[in-house]
Amino acid sequence: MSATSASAADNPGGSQWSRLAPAADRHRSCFGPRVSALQEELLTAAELEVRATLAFLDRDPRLAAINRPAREALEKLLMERLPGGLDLCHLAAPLDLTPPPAYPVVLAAAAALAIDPEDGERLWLPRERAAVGSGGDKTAEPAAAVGPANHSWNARERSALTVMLATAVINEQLLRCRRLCIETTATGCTRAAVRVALDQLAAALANPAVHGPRTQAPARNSALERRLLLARTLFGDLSVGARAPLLQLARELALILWEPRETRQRAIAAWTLTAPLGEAVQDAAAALILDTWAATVDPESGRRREGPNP
Amino acid sequence: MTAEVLKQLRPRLEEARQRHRERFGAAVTDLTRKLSREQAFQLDLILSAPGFLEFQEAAGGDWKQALGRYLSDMQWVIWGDCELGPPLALQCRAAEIALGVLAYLGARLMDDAIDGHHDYKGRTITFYGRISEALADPRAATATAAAGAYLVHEALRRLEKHGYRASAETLRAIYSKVFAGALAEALAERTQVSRDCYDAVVAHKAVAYDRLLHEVFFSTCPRPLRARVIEVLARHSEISQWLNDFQDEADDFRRAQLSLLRVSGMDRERAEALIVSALAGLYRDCRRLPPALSDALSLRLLDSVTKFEDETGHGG
Repeated sequence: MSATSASAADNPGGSQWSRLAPAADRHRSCFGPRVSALQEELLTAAELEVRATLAFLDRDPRLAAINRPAREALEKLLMERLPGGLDLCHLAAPLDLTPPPAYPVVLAAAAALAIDPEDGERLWLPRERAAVGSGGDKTAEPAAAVGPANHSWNARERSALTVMLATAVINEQLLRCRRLCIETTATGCTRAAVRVALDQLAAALANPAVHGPRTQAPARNSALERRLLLARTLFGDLSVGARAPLLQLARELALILWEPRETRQRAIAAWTLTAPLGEAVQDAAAALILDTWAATVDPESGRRREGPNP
Repeated sequence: MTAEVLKQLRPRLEEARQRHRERFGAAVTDLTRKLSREQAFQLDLILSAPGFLEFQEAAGGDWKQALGRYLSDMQWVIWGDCELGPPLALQCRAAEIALGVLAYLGARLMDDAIDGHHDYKGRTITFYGRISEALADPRAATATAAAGAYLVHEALRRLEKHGYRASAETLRAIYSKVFAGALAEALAERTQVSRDCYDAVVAHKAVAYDRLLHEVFFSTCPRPLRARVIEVLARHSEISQWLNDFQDEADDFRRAQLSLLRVSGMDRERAEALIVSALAGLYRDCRRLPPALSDALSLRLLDSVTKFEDETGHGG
């Protein structure tokens, strides 16, 4: 969906909101190819990072063959989540910002932090489903970890093993941060890992019948934590004055995913805060807001789209 | 090698245990108490984090208290190492060790959730056991595993914050092995397994798991001796896993768990011979260590010999 049609469908009369579309179009015509090239470059680096991270499952040759289906399923899941962290590149181009070497590591970490216990449904397949591939394609190779013969994963095993694997991947990424001597990144990832684990615990305890919409709070907090981890890394070298409005924008973008109606006006407010950084940056922010909106909000209902954990 | 060898070792091990108790019993008790206090303090800090156990009231229980109680009940996991502290004249850094124990227990929580452990050897009700009385799976398992993940990340974060970075790094590196082993244990064919595969899972799971405790506890021990002690303890962890498989044979078969007795070509008779030979070898290795340390290690050996004899009826 183009920026123009998204804004028209969402809010035909909103004066502030309607200013976003032309700004976004300006950004795309000026920086579109640069942003795409940067995203592609980062995606390739982050994919390498994911593969390097998962090497711990193959390190002992005696276990490599046994662990391979889980490693492949996990790799596929993480690869699918990587692009979710690339949208901030819209802002890097007009700022002439070269993402720090740690950024691919953080992209991989954000993808790992997005692993939800419910992903166990995809990761741990009964043999009969694995035989036709996780997508149901009869020609596909088994795409997920299958259990031993005569064993079918139950709900307990699926969710607990998924939490364990996510913990393992994050642990590995923290080890890589230390090896690469990216201390600030390691500290940020550790903090996010603690927060996300607490959120998963809260989500398991929450009861929708008692808490209503508050039940969503842990998942929203985790999404916010991941988004801020990415933003702090990408904008880490900017001055405090330049960084603050960009972090505020990143925060509101994360919340659009969860509270589209409430945060729409706040996203506009965050957009106006980027004005001192120059028109090019503000145009990029407009593109980012509209892209996030289009990707996460159903234009018919104005509600968040159903789908995998963003 | 027959079980007779162990019968002959028993009186020597009992004498060594007596010497150790007379010489270091009080110091070991002091150290154990000191670590218990520190662990309670660190646990309280960790469980008091903002947002910890949000929504617990809707899940029908005081889960913070239940988790705290389980983790306190499990503090004995470090007592075995405490026996070795005074003989080595170790300067034990209580906060470092307590945080290391909590990081270890985080993995234990995850393991309880994966395997559905409601209690530990019928004695201690696990956190998963308590919470699954109120919540159905997968919520109970997710809550338990997530509590474990939180404990691992937060304990390691605090270790770094307090300046024990080397221990935090070591634990992360060992966790790398533990997680790979735990995954392989879940995925491996269990009806019949090769010795190579079984050994690899034991090395990554049981042995590396125990090393999480040892590496932090002995972090102040001079390097050459430290390596020897940890090597001996690793060997003991491996034998203990074999003994557990021996003891849990019926339960492991019922739950289709990986076991020494599922290794191709293995039967109880061969497994007995393997354990006897390994225990005798370990005894010899212990005798090469400084005498006070060797005496302290006799407690572990004696415990293993007793387990073996109880299980096989070779004790007479």
